[in-house]
Amino acid sequence: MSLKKKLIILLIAFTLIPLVMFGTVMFSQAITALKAVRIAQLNNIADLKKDKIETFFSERTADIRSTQNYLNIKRNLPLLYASSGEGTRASSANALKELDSQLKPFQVDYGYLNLMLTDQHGRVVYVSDDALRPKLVGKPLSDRHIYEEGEKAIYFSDIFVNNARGNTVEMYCVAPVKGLNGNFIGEVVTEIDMGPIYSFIQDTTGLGKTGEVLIAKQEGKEAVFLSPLRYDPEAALKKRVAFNDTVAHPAQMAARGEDGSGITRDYQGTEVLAAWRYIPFLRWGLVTKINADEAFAPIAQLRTFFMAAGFFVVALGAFAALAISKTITGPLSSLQEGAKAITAGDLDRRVGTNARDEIGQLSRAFDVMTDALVHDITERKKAEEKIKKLNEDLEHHVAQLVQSNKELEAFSYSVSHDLRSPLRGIDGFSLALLEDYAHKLDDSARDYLERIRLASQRMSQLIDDLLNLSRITRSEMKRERVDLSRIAQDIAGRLKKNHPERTVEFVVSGGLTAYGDERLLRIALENLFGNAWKFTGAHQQGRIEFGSTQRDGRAAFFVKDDGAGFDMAYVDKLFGPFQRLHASSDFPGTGIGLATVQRIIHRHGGRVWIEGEVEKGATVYFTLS
Amino acid sequence: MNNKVILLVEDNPDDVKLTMRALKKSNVLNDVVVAQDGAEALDYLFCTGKYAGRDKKIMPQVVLLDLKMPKVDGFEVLQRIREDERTKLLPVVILTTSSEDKDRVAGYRFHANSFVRKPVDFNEFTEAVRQLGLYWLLLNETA
Repeated sequence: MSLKKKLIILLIAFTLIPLVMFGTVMFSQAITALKAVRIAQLNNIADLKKDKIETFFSERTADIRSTQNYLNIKRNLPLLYASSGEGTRASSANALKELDSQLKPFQVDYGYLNLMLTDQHGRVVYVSDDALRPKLVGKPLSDRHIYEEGEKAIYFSDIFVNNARGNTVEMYCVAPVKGLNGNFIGEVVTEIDMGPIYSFIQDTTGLGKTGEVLIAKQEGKEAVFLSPLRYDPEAALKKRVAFNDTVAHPAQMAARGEDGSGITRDYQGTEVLAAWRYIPFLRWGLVTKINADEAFAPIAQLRTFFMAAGFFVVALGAFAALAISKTITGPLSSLQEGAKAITAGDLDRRVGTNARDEIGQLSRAFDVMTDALVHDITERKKAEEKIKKLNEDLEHHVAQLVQSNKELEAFSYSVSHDLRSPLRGIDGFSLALLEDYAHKLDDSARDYLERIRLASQRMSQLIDDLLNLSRITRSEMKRERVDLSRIAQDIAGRLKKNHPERTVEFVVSGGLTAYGDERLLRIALENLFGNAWKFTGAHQQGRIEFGSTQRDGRAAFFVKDDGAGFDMAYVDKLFGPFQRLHASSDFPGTGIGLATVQRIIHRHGGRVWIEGEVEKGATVYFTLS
Repeated sequence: MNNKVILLVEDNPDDVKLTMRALKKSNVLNDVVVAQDGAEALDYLFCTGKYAGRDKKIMPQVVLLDLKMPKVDGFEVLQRIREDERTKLLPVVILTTSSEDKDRVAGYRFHANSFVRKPVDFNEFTEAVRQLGLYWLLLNETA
């Protein structure tokens, strides 16, 4: 993932996560707080409404209480229902006049639709409203139940629609009237217009747009709505809801006499915050409610605000990340491009900037490194060129060497074959002369012929030695662990067996091994032991020792004898082929032995040297890699 | 014994002479046919060239074969001898100055019956020839 993406993700994570956590806490707290506030508000309004309603109706109670004690009514009511019987028309007319003079202004001043009086049987005997008076007087009160309640105490009827007066919604308040003698003589009935009550019930001040106040009452197992509803203006006295219904929960609760508040569903099934109150003397349940949507609108606003803020912060974070990444990745990608260019071979490319930050330092450090690398590469290229040239030279030399080896081989072959043939002729024909013409030759001639033969045989020996030496140089090496002590014992045993007349003591150290070609090492030891054997020949008895010692921190083997020895002044000549320090007559040989040994040791990566003293013996040392 | 011919393939007249002398001294009295080089040896064996008219029934008792010769060398002669049904079983002794291992190995690989190095010392040479004659002319039963 690129640095840019990482930075953006990091910054978003670091802004968004706290934002979401903070927002969540804020929301839950805000919701709780808002809910509490809203519920309290609804409770307040409900209480206020209830108060107002109670105040209104207590005023109505006070009204009827004063009316009930009017002397005018106590005195004149009996006269009225007497007139309906056989009472005097004059007294009844006078009574009516007296009642009118007091009750009509009362009705108007206190805002009643009408005021009626009944006799003790519930028959209407007085109607303040002149228009209705002829219709109602003499008839019983519309509802017998109201009359019965009014006989006992002040009683507010249920709300009803009065058909007689153009379908007005109203209610009765009834109160018993006692005569001057204290007996029940009838009832006073005030007709209350529900209009103004509805007006202030439906006043939703402080409840917002979806707020609503309504009243309901219990009727059997149902709640009946008593006021027009906001979403159903015709609901008053018509809309009902069963108590086990899931909707209109606040109205159900209020109608059943409960006080309370909460979040629930209204008559439309909408989620609402509601408070409900019961007004016992009216048997009304009062509900104030507001749609949850509106009640919690601030939360939605808050959410919107938070989302906007979140978006803003995230956007800001992303922008910051982009800006930061650009300030970082910009120089980095130019660094990267530079690195690529340098990798591709543009060694003059530099990426350094003047920026004082870490990346600037890095770019400058990179340039320093590039300089060093370029220097190194140039050096290395030079060195490689040199090595290449050396290698070519070497290959050339090797090819030359291979060629000369082949030539040497061909040379050896022809030496072996061509040089020996004439020798055989010389020897053979010399012998033929000696054998076939002996009688014609004198001693001197015979001696010469013998010398010719010896010389040719000696030359043959030289050729053989030379060929052997060349074979040792050319033959393949098979390296393995070689038991030098055992080989030395073998050779010593063979020498003793072939020359039983000699008294030579062999001292061979045990357990000496080396890593090398067994055949070649055997040839080397044979030569060394052969030499030691030969050069101790002039002494009565000899001692030949094979062992190992430390020289220059390395293990060196040695073959030591106590024979003729040699003068160290000529030590350099000893290892050359056919170099001899002794007369053939003293010690026979072609002088090829040490040259052979040296070649074998050199082929093993070792070193060979010799120390000696005339008549004290010689010691040949050699090391093997 | 006289009817047993020896084919000596040798280009060096000195060596021919010495070999003849060595054979004589070893009392090998068989007829010796000398081929100066490989080509002549093959002519003799397969009755071609200057030997076209020779009696085909006579085959040498043994071939003494030098290796280094002009025209056709000893190895090629040996190879041709072993390839041909008529001469496949002919005893061939390589008689050479060379003591190279590779020559010896090559000789046996081409199914030479023996490999003898000619020593410089004539006495030794005579001894070697004597033994050869003894073995190949007297003792060996040809196939």
